[in-house]
Amino acid sequence: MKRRKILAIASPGGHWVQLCRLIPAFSESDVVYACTYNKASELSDDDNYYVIGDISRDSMQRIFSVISGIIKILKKEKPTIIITTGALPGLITILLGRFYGIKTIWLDSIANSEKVSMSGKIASYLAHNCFTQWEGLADERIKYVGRVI
Amino acid sequence: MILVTVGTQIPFDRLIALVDDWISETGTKQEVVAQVGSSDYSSNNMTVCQSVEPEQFEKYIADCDFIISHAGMGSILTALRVKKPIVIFPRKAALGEHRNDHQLATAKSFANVDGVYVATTKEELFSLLSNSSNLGGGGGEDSNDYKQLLSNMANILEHSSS
Repeated sequence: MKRRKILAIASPGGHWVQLCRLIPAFSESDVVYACTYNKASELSDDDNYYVIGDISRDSMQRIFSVISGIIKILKKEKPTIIITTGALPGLITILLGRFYGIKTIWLDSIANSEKVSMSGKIASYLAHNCFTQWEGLADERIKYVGRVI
Repeated sequence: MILVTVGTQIPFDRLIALVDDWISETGTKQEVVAQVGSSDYSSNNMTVCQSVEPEQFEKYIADCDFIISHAGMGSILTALRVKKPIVIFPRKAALGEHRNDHQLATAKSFANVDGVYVATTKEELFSLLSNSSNLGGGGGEDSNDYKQLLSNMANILEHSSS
């Protein structure tokens, strides 16, 4: 059986900090990280790390370079699982991951306490697993399995 | 030292100016470092920088007595990680400070979390800052919710092998 390899990807700030809270759960897997800024302090020199371009709903001009950057990572690293805490680049990675037959997991940010984010709602149709961090927001497609604090 | 941070996406000069006013009003001798994002705010009261490299940011976090921040998850979780008190002041979409009002929701949901102190007005902010020596940090033991998340995630990953 092929060894499990995770691509863990997130935008900077709160998304990234929440992704890093999941690191203890990755101990039995190979992990590749991707974020949209310089190597984060949470990672060590041994960690495999990629930088991708940042985009949001307000700044879409780099979308094609972001897509090609993600495809390069998928082709080179051949992850078996994608896990993301958002935002838009993570959602795009899930979509691309589906084309490559990769298992995909979305964890919606704990900041979304009153409703699941727009990206999270879309992810609930795209990802194999979609999670909220607020029990009251869970439904048929978006489950609650715990939270980062 | 007091660290003020508003993330890198959109400036939040309303908070920076309030902290600036508080320093002028109280004449505090505490050093203040303010990370202001893409803003040209300047002040003689504090050290102002637009962004801070991750390594330097860790140093500021380690050195500060407490943090003043927008209600961003990155700041809140970082403060809990290093067990430092954090005063959060939510951005408002109506003032062009964010795309939506999720920071108000964050402030509401974190109001009862140890080590997190919410201010939404100048008066609330000044009163917290002037009593900062009474603010305790949070982020003690790992919560059951967090342990549950880690074991569930590990389990899901275990059963996702192709």
